[in-house]
Amino acid sequence: MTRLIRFVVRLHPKVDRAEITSTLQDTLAEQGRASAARELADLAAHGLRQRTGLTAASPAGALLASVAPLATASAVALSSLFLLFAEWDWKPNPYGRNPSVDHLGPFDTLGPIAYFMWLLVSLAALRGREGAVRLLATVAVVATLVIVPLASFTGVDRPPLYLLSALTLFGLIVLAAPVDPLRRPTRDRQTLATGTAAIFLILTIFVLGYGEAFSGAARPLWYRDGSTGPMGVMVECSLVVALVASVLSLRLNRRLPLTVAVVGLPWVVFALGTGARPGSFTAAVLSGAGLIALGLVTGAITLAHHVGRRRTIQPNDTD
Amino acid sequence: MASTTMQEPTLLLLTALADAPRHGYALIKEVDAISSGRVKLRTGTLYAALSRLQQQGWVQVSGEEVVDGRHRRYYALTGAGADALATEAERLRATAQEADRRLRLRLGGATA
Repeated sequence: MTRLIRFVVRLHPKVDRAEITSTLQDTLAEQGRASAARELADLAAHGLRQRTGLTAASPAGALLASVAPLATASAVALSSLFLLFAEWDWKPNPYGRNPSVDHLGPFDTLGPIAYFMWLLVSLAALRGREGAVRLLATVAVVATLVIVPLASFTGVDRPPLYLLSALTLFGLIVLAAPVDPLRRPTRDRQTLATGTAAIFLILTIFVLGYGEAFSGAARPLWYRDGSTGPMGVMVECSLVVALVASVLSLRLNRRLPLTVAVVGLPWVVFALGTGARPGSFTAAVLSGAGLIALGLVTGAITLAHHVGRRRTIQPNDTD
Repeated sequence: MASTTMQEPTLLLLTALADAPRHGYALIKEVDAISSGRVKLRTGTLYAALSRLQQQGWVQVSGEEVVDGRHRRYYALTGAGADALATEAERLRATAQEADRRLRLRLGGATA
């Protein structure tokens, strides 16, 4: 135990170690083993945040904290979408179930293990249970990663890697985001609820309304028959629009373009994985809009940095 | 002046610092006592909150000493921190007063 304590304390800056050790020794003296383990885990998490600069007081931490509700919303919306539309037949399937692979109860793949965990994460987040959100998000990330070896071990199919990768990245963003003790979680809950509803609605309308995806098929969405490709193109277009809109509304929220860029990364992984093949015109529009957005983001950040520096210097000038 | 709204552990932490500077372990005990055992701050959470409050300019380190072999660093409320706590206390007081007033009206209505 003493070695573990020393290791955990060593995660913190040298200047803080003596004080933290004293506080920890007093605290642990009153606790049992389980409680002491939770105490050390909490302190280790704080130490790692200090080391990586992902604290609520750092710009990177503040950025991730603002991205986390959107990342949760994205993961929950994707999980709900694939759970509802890709895991079982909505209409009688003339070919029946594939007899060469096993199934997870009524579901086609092992995906629902991760999907249900994300639904639990959203419930915990909406109830404002930050501790439960962290725990369940950790379980969701581990479950998503475990699905890959589990599929080869059990013979039950798994969702494609692009979907599992996107869910893992969303989970890592949620886990990396610090809790700001000066911010009420109410706003995050509103962002989560609105974000989930909006993303799920847009994707659902697209899936149900796109071409013949559901007209002759047994289910609205298939993992591997190319029906997710158009959805990938739509996601790419939406990201570019969101990025441009965020730059245009920079005066309202200076952090918005970076927020969109960070939450957009897992979405890009998802979109590329769907085999999205935009036509040459769409590709040209996307590339052009992307370049303009990139230029605007770079310009805006430079300008914001410049204005920030001028504001810092001004008081000295008047002395 | 407070520009943000704070979570309960943060409010308790500022309250614990309102009358005198305190070191880390004393703050954990004070928060436990003020909340009647409802809020138990873990060491990592305490130092994360103190770090954020220092960055906000509401708390500062006021001194360090070694007592009985324990290294103690004392944290104190700054003027801005006291203002923020006063604003939050006023907001809570106003809400509590309004709740009392309405409850009295309800009781008055019930007995009438």
